Amino acid sequence: MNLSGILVVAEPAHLAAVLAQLALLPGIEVYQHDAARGRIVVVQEATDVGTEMAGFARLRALPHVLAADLVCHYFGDAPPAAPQLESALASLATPADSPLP
Amino acid sequence: MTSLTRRELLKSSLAATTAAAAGLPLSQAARAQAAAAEAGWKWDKGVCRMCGTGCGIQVATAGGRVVATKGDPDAPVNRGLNCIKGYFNGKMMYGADRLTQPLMRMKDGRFDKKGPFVPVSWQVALDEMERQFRKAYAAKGPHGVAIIGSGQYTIPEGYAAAKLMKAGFRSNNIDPNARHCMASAVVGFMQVFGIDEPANVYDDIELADTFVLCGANPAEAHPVLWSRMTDRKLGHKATKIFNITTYANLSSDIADVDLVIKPNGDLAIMNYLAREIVARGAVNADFVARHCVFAAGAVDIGYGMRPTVKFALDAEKDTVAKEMAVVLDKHEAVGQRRKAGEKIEQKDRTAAGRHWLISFDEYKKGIEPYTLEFVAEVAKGDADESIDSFKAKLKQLADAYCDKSRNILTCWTMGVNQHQRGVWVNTQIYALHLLLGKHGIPGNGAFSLTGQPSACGTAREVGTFAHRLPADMVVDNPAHRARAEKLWSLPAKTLNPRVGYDHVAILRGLEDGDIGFLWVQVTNPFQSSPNINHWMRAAREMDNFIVVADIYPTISGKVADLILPAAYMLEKWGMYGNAERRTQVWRQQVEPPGEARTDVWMVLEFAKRFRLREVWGEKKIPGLKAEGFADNTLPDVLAEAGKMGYTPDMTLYEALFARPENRKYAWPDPVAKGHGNSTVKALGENWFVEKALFEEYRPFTVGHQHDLAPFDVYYADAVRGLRWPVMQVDGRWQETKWRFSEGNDPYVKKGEGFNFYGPAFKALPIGTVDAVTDPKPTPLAGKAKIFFRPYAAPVEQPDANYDLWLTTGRILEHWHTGSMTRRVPELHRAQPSAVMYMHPEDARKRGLKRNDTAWVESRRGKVQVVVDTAGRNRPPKGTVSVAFFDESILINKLVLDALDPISREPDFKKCACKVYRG
Repeated sequence: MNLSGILVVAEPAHLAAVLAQLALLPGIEVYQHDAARGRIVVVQEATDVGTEMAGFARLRALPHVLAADLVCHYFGDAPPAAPQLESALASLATPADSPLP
Repeated sequence: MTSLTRRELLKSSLAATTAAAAGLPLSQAARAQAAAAEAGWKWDKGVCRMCGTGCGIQVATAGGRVVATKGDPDAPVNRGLNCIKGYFNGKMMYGADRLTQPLMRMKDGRFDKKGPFVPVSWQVALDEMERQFRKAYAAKGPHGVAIIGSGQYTIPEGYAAAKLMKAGFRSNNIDPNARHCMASAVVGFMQVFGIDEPANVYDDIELADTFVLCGANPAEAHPVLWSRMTDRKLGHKATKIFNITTYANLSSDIADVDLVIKPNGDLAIMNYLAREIVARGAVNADFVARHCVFAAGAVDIGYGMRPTVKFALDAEKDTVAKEMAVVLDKHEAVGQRRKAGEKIEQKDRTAAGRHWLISFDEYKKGIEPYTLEFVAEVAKGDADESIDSFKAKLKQLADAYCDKSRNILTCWTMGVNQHQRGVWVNTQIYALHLLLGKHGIPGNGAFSLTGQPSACGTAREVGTFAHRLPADMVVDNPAHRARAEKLWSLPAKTLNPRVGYDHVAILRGLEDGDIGFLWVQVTNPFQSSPNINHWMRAAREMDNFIVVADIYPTISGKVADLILPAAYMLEKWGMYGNAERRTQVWRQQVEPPGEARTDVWMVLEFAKRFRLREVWGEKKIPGLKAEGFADNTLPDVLAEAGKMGYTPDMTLYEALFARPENRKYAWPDPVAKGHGNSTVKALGENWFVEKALFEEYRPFTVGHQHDLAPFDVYYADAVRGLRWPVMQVDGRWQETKWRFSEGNDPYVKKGEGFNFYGPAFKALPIGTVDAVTDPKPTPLAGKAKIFFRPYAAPVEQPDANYDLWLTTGRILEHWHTGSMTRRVPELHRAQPSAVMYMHPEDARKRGLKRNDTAWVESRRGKVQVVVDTAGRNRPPKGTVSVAFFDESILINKLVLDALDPISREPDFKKCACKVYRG
């Protein structure tokens, strides 16, 4: 479970439109907003960090969104895979100037 | 509340934290839910390691793992916010291919440069490393071995590495990757102010009316600072943002005026602005008369390439040949008051930093040719923009500088520093602010931003450069060496007066056989350096031994002979210094995995293997020439060392590190609050290594305008870093915001107004704008220099064959070479691989469209890329841009290894290339 608290800053004049767009996005919940300052408190849930980041980029790209800043990030439930020596060696096995797998 | 699931509870908690950061009211219930969700977590302060901004973070651990991170609401830098890179801090150490054991190239049970990597014990790894070091040290001397270090070094790491090399092995061949990003800024500070690092602070963002970005793209590279700038613009309607850039980028989206320029056009623009400031009577005459002098410097300084084509590929030879002599083009001729077509020998290429005092009249003579017409012609970078439109923008920019009622902040990063004349542009920017008397005061100043978390705190302040000692001292100054020898308790003449090999020179040294042993720490030079085909080949094919310490396998790891598994930042104690002189600290949060170890431990463990008799005897240093030294020779200092209580059999560990005064800092220490210390644990010792090293370093800074507070002060719960100089006033440790101005900087006395007290280069010859006329040094204590620098063209430019400009840079989602930020496999989806940004018309002419695969090729190499014609970067016709984070697209194979000849920093921003269908 990857959860992040994101502060979205919208143009105050278009706050309603931005809230409407946010309501349509999967994985996004709006908790609170400040109409005067265009501040919106959003919590995003995703299966992994990559999806979190893609979601974050998506927020930033919405019309009338001036900024999206990450405030907090929780990722503690699923224990990380233990590092595998084989993975490191596999990364190093290819020739020096060819891409890592 | 009990009916809430754990997921709901966590979400409420995150929402509450986010609301608090936004200054929104929180209900009692929300507070209670947050507390319940975080039961069992231990929060501690930390610093983001993903750029030079220095955002404060809070790190939560539970059960020996990092489980959450958040922007630190009490951190003045970021006030609770993080950019997208904040996702990385807590997660980066958990990749599947994390290095947990030393790996060495072996065949038949022994080291073999041609063998595959095999896991070995630390004992075997260090034994081979020692053997190979001895071989190179014996054959080539102290300057045959090298360390490439980092602006990501913690302060104790950089200090330990620099001390081992300089005081132990008597080699100045240690240079950080910060050479690739900040060196031009450093020389700019030293030449103008005589002391390194900015006078301004981030507080200026909320006080400025005008922002001029030059060669900077904070929307991608410094997002939190960008959030503060855009916030200022939203809340303060008069705010204006100018963006001087070679291509439209994300920062252009909010800028009021976007000036798309040709490479090196910045040199001409700065002179136009200076000329306007003078012509319009906007000079602050009183400030300039009291606090400034005018200066000029050598012009024919080459391009930092090799003086020979011996090592060049055939295709490179024409560019490299220009190192010794160039033919002036028509713009250089006007800008330098010379004749077009004249062939100019680069006679000052080995004395590129030479400069002297000139009169205001001579200064005016220098800037006179830089009229609006001339500069618009030289600098306009977008063929689709009319000359009148560009001229109007230049005028608006001049208006902004000349407007006495507006506060103005000029910010720059790599576009200015990674520049064949990067030092010149740095000094030109200061010249504008000094002419106006608008520098180092609230809301006004020329502010050099930094790319790495401790480029300032470690690379620069500790002095991990080939020419530096701690606190701005340099190895070729006898008084500085004497002070360092005293503080380090070294016999006189232990330190080597010859400047060592800089970063690119170390890599060239691998190719030409000068360097036989290289240790890479906390960086990835075989990806991040220019013209890497040469250095990769040299690493693999020449007789040398390359050690790479890292947390993951990188490109540098692949070309290495030995890989040492390193601890991640949260697995060790550390401190960083950011771009506004703020020193910030963290405790070790978790243990390193497997046999990964801290870099400090590696340095100390290696030091145990060498004895004084091996390093403090007479040593040959080719090229050493210094007063009091026989040519090419470092003297035997063992007899003198004996008088000081050293014995020849003492190890470098005992002589340099585990000294009795350092062992007094006992571990465990109450400041740890129960946190571990993996350095101490692996050493099996009971002294607090990081604290002892910091406290040993601190006296270099105290009383020398770099004052740092004691170690424990930074760890106090309420402290969120302190900006140096930090002085004790009435028992409290007080930081300094603006430097050099009365009432702000403790080093400026009452009545002085300003005092540019930096001591370097403060006695100079006098001359005209072109040459020295009176070589006698004239003192200029307390003054800052207003430099004239002429326009000079880039050494390699597009031609009929290589018909496009290639520029490289950083993008938001990844950082540096991406060895950490690319590690979480899913991240490839956010920005799967580096693309080439290109004008749609340029693409169409080559039969390409968006998402096609194309080859991009320069004289030095080629790679395949995916074309993007409608992305975040929108280059003008004739320019393509590629990010350098992607190890599957090694764009630095193509980049020219031309340097700023004064700072020795590479120019990653301009070379010629061609693009064709893949």
